[in-house]
Amino acid sequence: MNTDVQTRVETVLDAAIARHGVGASALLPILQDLNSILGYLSEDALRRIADQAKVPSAQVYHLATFYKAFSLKPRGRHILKVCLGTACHVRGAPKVLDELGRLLEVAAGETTKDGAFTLETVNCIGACALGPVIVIDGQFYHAAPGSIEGLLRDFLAGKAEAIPTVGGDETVTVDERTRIQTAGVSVAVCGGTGCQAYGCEAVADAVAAQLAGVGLADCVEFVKTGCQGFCEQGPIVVVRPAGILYRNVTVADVPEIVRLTVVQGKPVERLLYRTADGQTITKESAIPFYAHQRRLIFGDNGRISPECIDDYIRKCDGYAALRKALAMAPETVIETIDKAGLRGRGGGGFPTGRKWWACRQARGGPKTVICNADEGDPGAYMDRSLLEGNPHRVLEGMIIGAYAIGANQGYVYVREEYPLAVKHIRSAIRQARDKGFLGVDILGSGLDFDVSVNRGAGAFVCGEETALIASLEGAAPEPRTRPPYPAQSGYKGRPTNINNVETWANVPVIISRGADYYANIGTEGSKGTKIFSLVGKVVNTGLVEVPLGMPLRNIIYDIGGGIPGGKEFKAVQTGGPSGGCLPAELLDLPIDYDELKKVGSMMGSGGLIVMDEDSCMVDVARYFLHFLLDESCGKCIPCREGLRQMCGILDRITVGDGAPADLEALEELAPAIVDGSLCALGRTAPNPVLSTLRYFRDEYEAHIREKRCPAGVCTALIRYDIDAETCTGCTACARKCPVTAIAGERKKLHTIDQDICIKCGICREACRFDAVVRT
Amino acid sequence: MEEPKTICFTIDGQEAVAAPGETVLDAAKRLAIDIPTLCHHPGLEPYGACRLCVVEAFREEHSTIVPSCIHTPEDGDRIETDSERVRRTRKVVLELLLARCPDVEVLQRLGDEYGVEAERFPVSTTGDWQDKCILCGLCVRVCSQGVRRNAIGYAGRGGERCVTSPFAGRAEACIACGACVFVCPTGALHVEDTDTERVMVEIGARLPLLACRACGRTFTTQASFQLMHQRQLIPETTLCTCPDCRRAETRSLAEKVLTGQRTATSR
Ligand SMILES: Cc1cc2nc3c(=O)[nH]c(=O)nc-3n(C[C@H](O)[C@H](O)[C@H](O)COP(=O)(O)O)c2cc1C
Ligand code: SF4
Ligand code: SF4
Ligand code: SF4
Ligand code: FES
Ligand code: FES
Ligand code: FES
Repeated sequence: MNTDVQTRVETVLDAAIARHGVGASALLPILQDLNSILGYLSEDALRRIADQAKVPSAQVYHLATFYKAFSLKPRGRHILKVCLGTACHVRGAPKVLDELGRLLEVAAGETTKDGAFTLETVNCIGACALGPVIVIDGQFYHAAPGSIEGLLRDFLAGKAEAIPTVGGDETVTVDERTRIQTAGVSVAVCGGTGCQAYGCEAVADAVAAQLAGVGLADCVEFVKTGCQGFCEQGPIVVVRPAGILYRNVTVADVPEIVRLTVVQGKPVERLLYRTADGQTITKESAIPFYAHQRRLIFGDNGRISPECIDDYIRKCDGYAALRKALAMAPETVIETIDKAGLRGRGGGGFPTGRKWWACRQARGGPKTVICNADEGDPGAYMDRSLLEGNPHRVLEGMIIGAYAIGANQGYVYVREEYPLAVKHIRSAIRQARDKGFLGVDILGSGLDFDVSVNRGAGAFVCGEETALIASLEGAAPEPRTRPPYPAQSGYKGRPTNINNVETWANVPVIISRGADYYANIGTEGSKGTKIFSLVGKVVNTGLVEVPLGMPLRNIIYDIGGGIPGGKEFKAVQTGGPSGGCLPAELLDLPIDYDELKKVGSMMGSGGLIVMDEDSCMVDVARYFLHFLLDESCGKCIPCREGLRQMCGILDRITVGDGAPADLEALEELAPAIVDGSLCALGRTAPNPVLSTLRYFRDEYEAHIREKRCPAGVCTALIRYDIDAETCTGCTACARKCPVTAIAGERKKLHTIDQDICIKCGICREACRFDAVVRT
Repeated sequence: MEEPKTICFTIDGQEAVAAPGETVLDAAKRLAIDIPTLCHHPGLEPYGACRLCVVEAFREEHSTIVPSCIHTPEDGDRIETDSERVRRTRKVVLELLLARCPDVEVLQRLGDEYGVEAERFPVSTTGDWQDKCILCGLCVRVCSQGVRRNAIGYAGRGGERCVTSPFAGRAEACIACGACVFVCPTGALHVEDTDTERVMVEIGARLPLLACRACGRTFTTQASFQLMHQRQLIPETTLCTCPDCRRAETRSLAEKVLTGQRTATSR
């Protein structure tokens, strides 16, 4: 081994140990540091870690092979990740992966021969509204199948970022200036992850530069906000108080926005939102996507700069709820939360007040509270957007909770795919400390409480509370049997209360507005509002917040604008990977915890993935089961081996080798997996199969009996042919086919060589005459 | 301090009691009710991985399937160890295990007991020793909790999970004590002695053997001896005597005591 390399490993390791200390609970952060700085974890590095951090090498090796974020092999100069999350899956991510694999001549997990690229996959990066998404060196790109080659070429050519243009000689009159000042004009540019993928950074820089250039920097407020929810239309710019919303803004549009809208108060027509029938809508509040929402928790995201505590305090009455809570008895705080009827937003829907009571009453200490920001459900990204866009609200909730429970230590466990969320919650913690909202004797109340941030490393099961606690402790993130519940014995055996990000964010709202106000929103058993991630095959994708109990139809059609391209709605998948697929007959279902359970699905963290006629429900079930098998910790047999068999059966069905007995086998396996598994991952894993069998059995039958995939997704069961009558010989298909399976001369009939065809369907999209037919 | 309270409940209709912290399995054993287990060992922390020990726990009208090796009962619980739902769950667990490990005798025997017919699921063997491993984790736990060496562990997750030495190489911390081989319920792990070395076949460790001070035969590894010695568990002379000689010595000591030549405590 090269001594330079060894010294470098030593240096990085020394620094990591200096930062994180030694012992099991420092192990994960140390591995993360080395993996990110050195690019991978060599055996030599892992041995040194074991040695110096004083952890058995068996444990180091287990963690290094458990978490997906770690690579044990050297990687290329650029890391290219394809999102295979649900939202991206239904919009063609598997094809994107195939195409990249073909272009780079590597399989997922491999590095190109020249060492330029390593191709990896990831399960959701929280930019679901934009799917399919790829990430190159941390930058997000929307990757339509068929456009990948150009994207890679641009990337390699280092196509320069657009530079903000500043119209230098514009002037603002005194009158205009006065008007701006009295009106209190502000420009909010969304700086959320989704908009970043569309280049909002450059737009934001351009707005700031332009405002400065025309001498308005001192009287127009410029805010770079977190995600506002309407990501697909990004970059989003909102000018207030008029409330004019612009979408798909580019750097070139900025001077005009400043000139017309900021200075003169007039809209720039072409940047306004347009309805399907071409009408423009000026005001943000009138856009159907927003008009039907009730943004109790999420609304402030569009108004504040997430890295500025004063913004939060001034505009959102921030930390007023904390003061109010500290003046109450801790028991009264819990009663208020209980009376409001808040249920956990992380999936289980457990009453939050009751959970707090249990932890408050538990013996032992010091007590711990945890914010679960592992957000593993692929296709859901509300937790990311809350932490990125309004971290103080989450933090304020945690401090109130700590006071109510009597906890002194807090942790925020954020998944590793969310670097911006980590940055913002860290800066929020620092600022809150400076203001005395964290630390010793908070606001003179006698409460000592502080919070630190830990990152996950790519493991869905870490969202499960007992696995999360194990992960924090540096043990293998395997769930353990409850009881004891974390409230009795959690982190390091201490009474621990764990809540989801959105749950915490609801707390200050309830304290400020009172339990009755909150309990008036929602249904009998599900109170308040819920943020849903409306993604997949729907016109307006994004984050929507509505009162619980709103029918699915209103969300998908009134807010989401229905299904694009004149296609037919087929199903909406709710509840994350172990949720269920609901058919059109259930569109009038009021969405709440109990109703969803009744129909064989669940709330999960609030993903709503809409599917149209082009989605195959057997393929969807197969997708989720493979996801769950891959993400299972592998500890218990019903989950590990049961899912393995279910995956095998579904694989067989989708390639045409299914038999009628397979459906019986699935139906017999399911209850044993549900009953027998150790944690809720296994206990709910059969849901996707059961719900698709319940509502879409005919599709299974078609695959098994007729060897036919009605949606045309399962490649083994479809073929593409060119219709002799309609083909004009334009050559469009042949030029696009990535494997040159199409032959034919100009103006003559083209044909597809079935032995070469990989059934990507690109030819069908390329043909303007609908001559390519799928059967 | 409050009095530790005894918990009263029933198992298969029989009155049962458990001290706080005791599991259903503990209580069932006292009543001589047989519950099959694969990943449980009384000397190690319960793990809850194999799910063969599941029982049905009724609380009022509601019932759930719980692992008896971990589940601690509450007053008034009604436990059924052989209900329809229990048998069905155990049967599927065994079918799944037999698809993974078709050649393991204990599984075949249990499979017969639970009515597993010709394999319904395709056998997914890999051709290496792992085909006999059910990932019960007993070996890993005995090595960490009992021997306290942490010489072996797991790698991967989900369907890829396996038992392995670190870096899939030689288990450097292994002292070849053989405890893992001893607890393994399926015979997946093996130990082989040469004239001078003990070889942990699957774990990849070879350690020099120690000869008995009395008869000269090799019987344990030097490393195991040292560990026991360090922990002062057993006096050195006893330790470096092989079990046969130790028995012989004890016997002769006993005879001497009985014939009045010595007292038992003098050496
Ligand atoms: C496999 C699995 C994954 C989970 N992932 C998450 C997650 O990403 N975020 C979350 O808040 N809760 C997740 N949960 C639920 C947590 O275990 C826990 O119930 C929740 O954090 C409690 O918070 P709440 O009461 O505020 O909902 C998951 C549960 C399971 C079984
Ligand atoms: S159910 Fe799955 S994820 Fe949960 S403990 Fe068992 S193997 Fe692990
Ligand atoms: S033989 Fe080695 S691996 Fe097995 S228990 Fe003993 S020390 Fe651990
Ligand atoms: S080797 Fe044996 S003891 Fe170890 S996990 Fe496998 S079956 Fe269990
Ligand atoms: S970003 Fe791909 S599914 Fe979320
Ligand atoms: S990231 Fe800008 S609206 Fe979501
Ligand atoms: S013996 Fe109880 S789960 Fe294995």
